[in-house]
Amino acid sequence: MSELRWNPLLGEWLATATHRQDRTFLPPAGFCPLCPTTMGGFPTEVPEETYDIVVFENRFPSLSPNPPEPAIAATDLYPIRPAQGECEVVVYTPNHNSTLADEPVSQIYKLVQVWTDRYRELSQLEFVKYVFIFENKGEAIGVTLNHPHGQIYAYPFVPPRVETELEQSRFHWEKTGRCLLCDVATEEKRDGRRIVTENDSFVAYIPFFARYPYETHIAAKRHLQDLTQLSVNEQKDLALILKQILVAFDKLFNVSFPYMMVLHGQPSDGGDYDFYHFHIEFYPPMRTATKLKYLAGSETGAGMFINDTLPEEKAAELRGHISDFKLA
Amino acid sequence: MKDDKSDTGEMHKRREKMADERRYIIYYTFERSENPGTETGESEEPKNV
Repeated sequence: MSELRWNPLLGEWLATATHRQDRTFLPPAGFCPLCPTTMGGFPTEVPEETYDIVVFENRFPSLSPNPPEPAIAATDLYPIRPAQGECEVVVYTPNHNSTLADEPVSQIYKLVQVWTDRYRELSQLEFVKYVFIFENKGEAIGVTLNHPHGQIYAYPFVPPRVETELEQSRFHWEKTGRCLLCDVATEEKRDGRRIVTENDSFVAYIPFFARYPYETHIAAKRHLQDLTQLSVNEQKDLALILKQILVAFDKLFNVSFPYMMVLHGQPSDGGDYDFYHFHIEFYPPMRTATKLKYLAGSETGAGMFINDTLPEEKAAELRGHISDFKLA
Repeated sequence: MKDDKSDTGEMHKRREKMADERRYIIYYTFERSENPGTETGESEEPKNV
């Protein structure tokens, strides 16, 4: 059963996807469905080994191009619609034991190019209004497969968190004539204490308003709205700064650092979003080497986050683990 | 299909049906694939800056 149900209390859609209860959960070594199929081995999702990055439709999607009709009837109070969209899996490398942080800058640069291609292609689908590229990494986040991979959801609507950012950005644009995220990046650079690293095209910081201790944002220095507007040099700079942040994360506690990584670009619903600004956000759940930040009563029930740390201190800590990388 | 040209090499994509004949899979390859970690200028142990 899969359908979109309207939440009248919050004014937003949610998906039911009961088939996902049966999805593969932390399979034993040698039975990873994201590894390339080997001679004599069990058939995985990826029959070939000869690729740099592979993308395929999720076997257990919450959204699909040809969804079933909803199983129950809608009412005036409870609208229902088919869960139309697309859910893709992006396998970063054939190497099961790697992570994005472990990959060379050249591989991350390839991933940026693949993300751009997927964004461009999925945005053109008539039923897609928002292409959301993300990665859930680590069992602390709830991943069910450890093979390095990310995901793409192509939604039939603009999701609520992005909608809030769009509204705030539009309001700021109309009030000041300036881009909100450009102003945030300028303010972060003026203050300086929360900057983690930067290069010619991107700046990374733990924002003044961080909700998680190591919540890191990467913003394009040039005012642009999505991946397709990046120049080749900007794509390379994005790969470089991603490598720096990911490696610094792993060095914090000498563990493979769990995180959610999300890319925020403009919707693909035909609207005019010149006021919006492409950026990436990381939400790592670790607050110390042994403690996680849980989304408890205030965060979940009231929507107000309580950050047990100061972004100024955490940025200094993360900055101390920044290394220099080069792309040939 | 050639899609892009860069110093990772040209990006090629090949789209096929998966074994279930329902879903698609896209293989992305780049013309000049290097072995991980072998590109010029990326040190094994990067220096702190």
